[in-house]
Amino acid sequence: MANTLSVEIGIWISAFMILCIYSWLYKYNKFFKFAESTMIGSAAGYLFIMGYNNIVNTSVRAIQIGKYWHILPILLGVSLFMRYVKNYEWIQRYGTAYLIAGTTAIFIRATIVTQVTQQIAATINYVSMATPMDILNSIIYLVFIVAVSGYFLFSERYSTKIPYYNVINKVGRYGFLTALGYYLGITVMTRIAFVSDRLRYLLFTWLKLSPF
Amino acid sequence: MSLSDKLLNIQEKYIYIVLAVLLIFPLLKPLGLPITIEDITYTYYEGIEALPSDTLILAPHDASTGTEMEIGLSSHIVIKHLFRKGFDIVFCTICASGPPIFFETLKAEGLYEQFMDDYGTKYVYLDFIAGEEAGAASIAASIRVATGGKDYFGNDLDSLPLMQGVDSGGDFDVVVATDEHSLLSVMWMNQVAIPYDIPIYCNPLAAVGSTFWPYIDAGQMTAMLIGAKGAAGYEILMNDPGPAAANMDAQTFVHVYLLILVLGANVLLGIKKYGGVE
Repeated sequence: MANTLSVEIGIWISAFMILCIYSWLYKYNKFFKFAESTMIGSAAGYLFIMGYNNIVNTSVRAIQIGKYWHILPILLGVSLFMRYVKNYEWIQRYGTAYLIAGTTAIFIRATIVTQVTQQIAATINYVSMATPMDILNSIIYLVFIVAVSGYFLFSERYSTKIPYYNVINKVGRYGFLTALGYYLGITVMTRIAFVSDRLRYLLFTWLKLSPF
Repeated sequence: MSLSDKLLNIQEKYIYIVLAVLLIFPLLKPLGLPITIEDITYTYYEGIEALPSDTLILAPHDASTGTEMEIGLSSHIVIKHLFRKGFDIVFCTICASGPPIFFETLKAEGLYEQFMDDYGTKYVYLDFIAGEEAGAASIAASIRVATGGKDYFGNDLDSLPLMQGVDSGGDFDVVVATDEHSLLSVMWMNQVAIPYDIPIYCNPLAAVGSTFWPYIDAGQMTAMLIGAKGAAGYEILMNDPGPAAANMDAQTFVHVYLLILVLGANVLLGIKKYGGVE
């Protein structure tokens, strides 16, 4: 095993920060707090610069070449800060209203197609009777779609009017708990990939070890 | 205190120590356990492989420091594949931390020189576009309006040969999206792939891969690489085993360990509850 430590100061700082963060596994301590604050501070500073550059690129440059209407998004953005100015805080409503309305419009336009109509069509198309296994899959698929939808759609208030509501309710619960179990299981893979990557960094980039 | 109580009240730090050993050991001494390649990974690889070399790709590289440790595994190997195939690629991001990670990726894979040599003719980087889904929608509508007509380096887009006649989502043949969390790929799908009816390939975290299956089943998404396992399979298909494949031994060890912990804890609780052990 080669074992010459890295001599790059950036790698040492990075390794120190990784160890500070993982020291939390032992207990909450000053090193972790230092790394946590450094991370938050540097991220906030970085985001500020990126936001500033974005405003310059998309609006300020346009104003400089005579497209004066690009002042409008800047004014709407500034209006959001008026909530901190007593007597003029009502001005922030314009920025907020535009933000919510614009975002809603963009989301709804796409969501109705991608999350509703196409998903319903795909659910119907998924049902197949080609082979015995397809038939079984289709039955399981339809049962759980009806049961899970039923669990969320029908409140207790109306449950007595729906035949077999309790059965539907229970099957629905088992259905989405199974899905959540799968989701949790695969989340472990992500978390382990995170740790594994940082360990690789410490072992191979900082300590310069090599596999044996 | 009974043995079951002692085991159920074991201090967390001992569980973490065993976890660390199980992670470090296979990294230092890879065992080469077999890696199963999922069908969806084949679909991804074969889909990219089948594209002609003059394909124009929109490649949002929405990476963040918080998830790069897993997303990086798939994005590195996919970018390598795209460069190897010689596609024309327009990179961009709606994630603020995207630009530095993108250039680090190119440098780590030895592609930075190629990127800079062919910049403007085969590759363009549009920079960070704010607004997430609104940003994706603005790129889909008009790249020049979304970016102010400039790329990351401040070049006029009209001066770049690759950008001649390219302005909206419909001008691209394929979208290959790297995703920092669950939503950004869906935003590219919503705003570019579906409205312009072009295929989209995604690299989500394993943790959110399951939420993408309905899009795959519905044909809204063409294929995806699910986290580290998808990346490992892709490296095998590319005959270029790297960090993702090396990571899979550790993944196997730790998953078995966690399974033992979960089953063990449940058995002990069962014994305590029904076995009459005080």
